[in-house]
Amino acid sequence: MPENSTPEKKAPPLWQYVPVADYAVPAAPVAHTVRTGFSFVRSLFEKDEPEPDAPLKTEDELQKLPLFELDRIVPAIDWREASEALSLELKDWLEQEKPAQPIIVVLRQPCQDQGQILETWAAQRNWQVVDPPSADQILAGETGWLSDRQKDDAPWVFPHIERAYLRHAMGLNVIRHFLNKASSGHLGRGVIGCDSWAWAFLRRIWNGRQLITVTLQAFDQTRLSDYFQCLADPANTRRLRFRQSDKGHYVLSPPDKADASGETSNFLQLLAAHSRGNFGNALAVWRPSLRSEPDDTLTEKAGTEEPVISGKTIWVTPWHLLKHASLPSGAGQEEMFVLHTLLLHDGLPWQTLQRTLSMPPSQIMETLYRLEEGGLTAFDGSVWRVTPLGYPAVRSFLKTNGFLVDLF
Amino acid sequence: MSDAGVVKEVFHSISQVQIIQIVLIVAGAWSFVFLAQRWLPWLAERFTRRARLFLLSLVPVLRMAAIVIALFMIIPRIIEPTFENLAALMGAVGLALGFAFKDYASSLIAGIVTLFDTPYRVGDWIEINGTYGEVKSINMRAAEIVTPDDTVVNIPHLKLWDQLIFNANDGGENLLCVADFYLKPDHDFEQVKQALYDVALTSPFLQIRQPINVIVLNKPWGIHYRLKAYPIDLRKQFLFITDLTVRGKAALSSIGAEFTAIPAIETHQ
Repeated sequence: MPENSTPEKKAPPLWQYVPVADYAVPAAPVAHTVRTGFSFVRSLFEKDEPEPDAPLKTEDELQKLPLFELDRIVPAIDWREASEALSLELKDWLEQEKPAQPIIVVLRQPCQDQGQILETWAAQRNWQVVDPPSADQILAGETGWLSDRQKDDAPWVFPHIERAYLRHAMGLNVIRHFLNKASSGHLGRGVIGCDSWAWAFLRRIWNGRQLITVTLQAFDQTRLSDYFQCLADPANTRRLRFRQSDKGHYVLSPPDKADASGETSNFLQLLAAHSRGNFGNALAVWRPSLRSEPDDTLTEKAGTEEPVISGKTIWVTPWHLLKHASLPSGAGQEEMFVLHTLLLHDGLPWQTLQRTLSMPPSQIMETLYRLEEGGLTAFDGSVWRVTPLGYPAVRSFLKTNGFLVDLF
Repeated sequence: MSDAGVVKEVFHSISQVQIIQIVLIVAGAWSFVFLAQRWLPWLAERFTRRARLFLLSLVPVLRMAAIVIALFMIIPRIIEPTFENLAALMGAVGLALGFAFKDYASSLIAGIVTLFDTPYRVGDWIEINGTYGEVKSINMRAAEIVTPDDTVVNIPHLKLWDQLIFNANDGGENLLCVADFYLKPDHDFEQVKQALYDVALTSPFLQIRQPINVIVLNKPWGIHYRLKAYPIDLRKQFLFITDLTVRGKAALSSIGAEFTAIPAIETHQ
């Protein structure tokens, strides 16, 4: 916990699971919202943005952080804390011998690998992890993959239920069968992990009983600040300053009390609103926004993992200078269909994507490459996904065009 | 008093300044209408759904407003705006229109009625006299619709008085599409209904917030299934029906349903 948290008001826990209805999407500052509205109107008639005031540090004076330094300041997410938070939220349910609701659904915000939380959680409790059926099994309507599960009363975790259906005329029977069995208690006690987009769709295709759904609470400005501070300075030695490069405002609270009077930036508030509380997306923006001066980089000591840090300043690119991914000009029906399908399944392999879209394969591939060039989709070697950086633009694009979107 | 004398009394002696004013008013109104007709559709294409339809529907209203305002500004510059003068002018104009341009005047009046009664708006999909298409513009005399085969059809507003006008979306964003399937009667009805329902549910064109219905009709030649659903974009209605039909046929084949054809009606001589 950072030093500057006020003792009177207890800060919310960093990782907190809440019922889905309690998910609070962070709001952007009003001034920014108004400015964005005006800039939209202006963009209809203008092509060039007006020049901003001279910055404190220009882009030429700064450099991207070296990868080792970036990994030191923003390391990979440790899911154990989230897993503990899930245990806390499910405490009552776990203590009940025969709960009224045999299954709990844990919704994940999209474009981040939160599935690992459930896998970690299952490993900690020694619960069985259920693997999804293959695409061929789904399309054939085979329910045999569940037979092992039915013989065994041990509790289970199904971390990726979105992989058990396909948006195909023949791809819904398996998931309906599974949800009917699971919700009626025939499969014993279980926890289902599901992507929020897939769940929005599944609630339309399955009319079973209302299930308990929980999710990680949104990462608002306070949580992001605490989280980034903890990542960058786990020992709480307060040796790094995070300042915005244009005006020098502090993005994270300054380490010295003398600096505490300095103005603070609204960068994190904008970041929280932009990512809609999705910390995976926030991280994807945060990492490339960090800069340092060429002679002010951390050095990697030979033979040690701990870099030398002494009162360094990390410069954060101002929000308006960040390059956000956007839809290619003239994006239309093909882009909408491909992006929506990818989000509904939390990514799909190329062959499966073909089966779910009523488009010629060449057109799908061309669309995927076009979106990839714009930084909106990425191929990880087996699966095409919407990128965390592109997700906010994609969600907004699909919502504006009337597509089904997730709750978050 | 002679006719020439009446006309002389009604009309001002128009000065050069007034002529310039009238020309400027006409030019201003024309420019406004021209810009509205050009820029509002351009702007509408940058918005989606509801905002687009709203902007498109503004065009005829703004044009009518510009013409009325221009007339109110021009008439006092031409005639003394007394009750007698206006009545005489209206009578003369009405007589001329009644004999020479009856249909034209009827279309103009019907055009004004369409603005308030709104039997169709820009962006609506309508059918009049067997012609189906999207209303692209509502002009003074006629509405311009574009058929799915990309043919422009001008429909005089006077059709409003005596023709049935079928409006598929009535200013809204939702337009019901129907895909028909004809099956031999020996099959599992529930299975077919579920399969067709899932076909619609999994179409990328589907507006999922609207209901999907499968209607079953018993016919002498077999069973007629009507799959009813709404597309996400009403301009994609034909692609949606195509998608439902193609995937519906595949899904029905995969569950073993057999298709039938409606037999030709025999004519008795």
